[in-house]
Amino acid sequence: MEWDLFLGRFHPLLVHLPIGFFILGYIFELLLKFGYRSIISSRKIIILTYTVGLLAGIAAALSGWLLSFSDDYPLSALDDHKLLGILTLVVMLILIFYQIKVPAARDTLKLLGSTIVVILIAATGHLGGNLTHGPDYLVEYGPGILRGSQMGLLENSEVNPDSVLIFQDILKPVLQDKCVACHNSEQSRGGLKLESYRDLFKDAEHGKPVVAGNPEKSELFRRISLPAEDDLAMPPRGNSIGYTNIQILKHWIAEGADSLAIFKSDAISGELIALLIRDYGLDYSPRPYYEKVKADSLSEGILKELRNGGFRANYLGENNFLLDVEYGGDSIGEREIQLLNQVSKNITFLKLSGCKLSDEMLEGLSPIPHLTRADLSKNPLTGHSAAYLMEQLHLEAVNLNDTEIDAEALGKLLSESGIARVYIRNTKVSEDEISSLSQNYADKEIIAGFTFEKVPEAKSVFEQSQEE
Amino acid sequence: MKDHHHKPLSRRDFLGKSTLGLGAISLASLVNPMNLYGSTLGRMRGPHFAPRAKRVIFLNMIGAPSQLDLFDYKPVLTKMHGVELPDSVMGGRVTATVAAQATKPIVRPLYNFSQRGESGMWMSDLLPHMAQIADELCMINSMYTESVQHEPAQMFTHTGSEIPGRPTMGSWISYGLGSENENLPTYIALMTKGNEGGSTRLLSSGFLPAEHQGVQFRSGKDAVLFLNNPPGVTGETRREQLDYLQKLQQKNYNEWEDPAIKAKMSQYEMAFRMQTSVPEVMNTDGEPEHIYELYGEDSKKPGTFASNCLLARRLAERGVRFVQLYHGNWDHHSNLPKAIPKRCKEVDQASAALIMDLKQRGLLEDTLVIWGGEFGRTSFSQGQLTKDNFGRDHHPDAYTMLMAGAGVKKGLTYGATDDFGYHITENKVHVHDLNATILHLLGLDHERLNYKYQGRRFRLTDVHGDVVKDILS
Repeated sequence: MEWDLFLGRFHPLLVHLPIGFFILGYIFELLLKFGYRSIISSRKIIILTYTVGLLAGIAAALSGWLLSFSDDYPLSALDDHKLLGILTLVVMLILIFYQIKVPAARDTLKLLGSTIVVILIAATGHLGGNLTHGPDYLVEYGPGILRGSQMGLLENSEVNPDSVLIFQDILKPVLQDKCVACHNSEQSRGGLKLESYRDLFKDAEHGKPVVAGNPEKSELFRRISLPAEDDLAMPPRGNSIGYTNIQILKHWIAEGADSLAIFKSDAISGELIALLIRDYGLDYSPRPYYEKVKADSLSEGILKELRNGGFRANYLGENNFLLDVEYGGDSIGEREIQLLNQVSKNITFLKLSGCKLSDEMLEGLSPIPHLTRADLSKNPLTGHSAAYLMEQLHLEAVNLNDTEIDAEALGKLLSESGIARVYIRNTKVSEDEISSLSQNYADKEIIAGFTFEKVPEAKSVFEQSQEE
Repeated sequence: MKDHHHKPLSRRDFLGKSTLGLGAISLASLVNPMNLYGSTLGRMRGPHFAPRAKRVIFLNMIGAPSQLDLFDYKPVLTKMHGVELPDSVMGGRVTATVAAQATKPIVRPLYNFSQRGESGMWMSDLLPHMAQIADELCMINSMYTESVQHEPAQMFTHTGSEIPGRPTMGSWISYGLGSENENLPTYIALMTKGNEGGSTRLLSSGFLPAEHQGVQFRSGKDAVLFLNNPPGVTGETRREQLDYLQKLQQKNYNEWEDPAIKAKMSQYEMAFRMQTSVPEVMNTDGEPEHIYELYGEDSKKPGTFASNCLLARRLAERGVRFVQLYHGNWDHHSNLPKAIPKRCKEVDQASAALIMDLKQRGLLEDTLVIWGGEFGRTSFSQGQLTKDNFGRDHHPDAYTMLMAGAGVKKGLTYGATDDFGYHITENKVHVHDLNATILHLLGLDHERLNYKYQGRRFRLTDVHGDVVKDILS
């Protein structure tokens, strides 16, 4: 049993007594001053109330002094509260003596003194409240101007998720808010500072706060993820740093705790994706390449030229200037290839189907950096065309139906490109070759013809039971 | 007499009235260059964001197939076959016919169910071909809708309102995305001969410009009524006639500057082009034998569902935005055991074939296929449950829709119902949510795809709808 802490924890309870009594007395004094003598006829009751307030204040101060040994509070803020509290008591004492000893003093002067005490009480109480609830508690839900916070990156709704640095933009503000008050250069509880990125890797009394790649060995992760009732749980009071932030910290440590780390769609769990959407408005759901990459808009002139040249060309969206391009004619030539080369940086879907596209013409096409889907079906393309396709880094699906592509070229294309789906119906690739390629490249979809298996006529349960 | 209210604008009038407008236009184009791009009369300017799908084929099973006998597997129904459905299960609303029923004996699924493909999706033996392509499908078992009656529920599925008058989904999509093929309408419907269902009201463009209306193609020679030249009129004469008409219209337009005149002119021209494009697309003689085999023997008979599926693929190939296939007679209040196998036989192979034919051609990359009816059916028998006969009543609180293709997760079974298939227990999907999702897949924000009419901006999803993100790939 620790008497000092036991009694100390009555402080938050006791502090309300002096506040209540003194303000009651203050109300009496106001009534007296403004002539409600039918209610308050004598100054004695005012002095009595003030005196009870003073006594209660002394009790509150003593319990507060005991509580201050618990070392749960940031020292500088605690000192302010302590000093202001003592000052309040002293001024209160003087006021009471003044009112008793100098009854002839003017009412206004007396009221002025009491007003000062009320202000001091309010200020002390506010500082105390900040200690237990945190400095942002009072105005957390107030208008921005009260909060005095600067616009963080994450408060901007247009933020690009890929520009968010996990440590700088998410974890650091959390540490600042929840940890730094006790773990800083002036006051490093447990020998731990959490002010900068470097601090995370310095040995503290209970071990290294962060061991890159290993959340379970990281003391910081261990302490913040303990159940609240555990003595070692951090932060020791107030709310925990929150489930989402705990998961973010864990993910960040597991991924190497790099100061410049960002969230990568393929590396984060579905749960964390959902949490980030819910709590930070950051969407890391896997998105196709053509939604992630940005292209500049083209001049109207170039688009018009392209359309007049027999192409259908559309931007993907209002703010997505990648192009979906399709050639409408049945014979493509030099001029059309040149037109395409003018817009190659914008093309993501390209359809040049049934237009006598040859290997040579395909070679004449500039690389298309953002090409994700190409439909080159119904063209006299041979295995040589694979070389061009392999150069297109982001090509995901290519349609080579009704071309002269062969198994060898197809194998090369599959092994040396990131293509996920390839269509090769009516080509030189035989059925046997397709099945062996499908086995070798199990992660890729090789789509050729399709036939159903024969199925016997199904019988209903009624028919089945009749037969039995 | 000269009509002074409509005199053409003078140069002075034009400059006086329009400078502010011109300024606004140039400012708008500075802010967003897309605003000036691709604007065509009476439609929006293309998708809001990158689309997964460019076109939709809706295989619409009119009359509401029984989800309990096809998709939503409920073994408890087998255990409790013939037992009275507990009142505690029902709750909620009941139709007048159900309320009038003295007994409500539970009916087991008519056919055996098993898990299909790598995904293990449950499907009954009634759809053996669909079962073979289960890994391509996304099955939503948690659909629900508003109305318990066919017409309003169909209207609701298509327009987001039970009352006729709003534009249908195909019209909205046509309005939002425009045409990919100037020779064909953007919204085309096909009906199964002998199993007609749906109505021309489901093709309505409502208050949207009439060019977005669905056009029904009939089976047989004369696919679009009154499209061919009457006897004695040659193509040349028709062309000449149209050219003269053009001149008159142009004169009219010069005087009135009414955009509707231009719209009318472009529709006449479209009809003229359709005189060649429609016979071309409807003639399947050039299709190889193995394709007919894929769709099943019915596909050679014009007007069958299988033949329509083949046509749907041909229309999708040619860039038609929205193709709707109606197949009726799924309304099995009685005699379900005799009737449902027939319907399934008519649609099973062709539906699956359409999806796989689109896939092998690479068209499933950007085509969305939807399969389903306007609501579900009850887990208890309507009318008497005998040794070999029963029926199922309308059930709007839980039913199944299938999706396949562009942007939809493959092999996913989404949502769940209780042991009686009566109420949804997980991931409810309202019709508005499904429609919002379809528009989303097409790159359209369902809240921004709207049209001002009688002082209010209308949407396909009214003031509701959430995109079902969980089913997006």
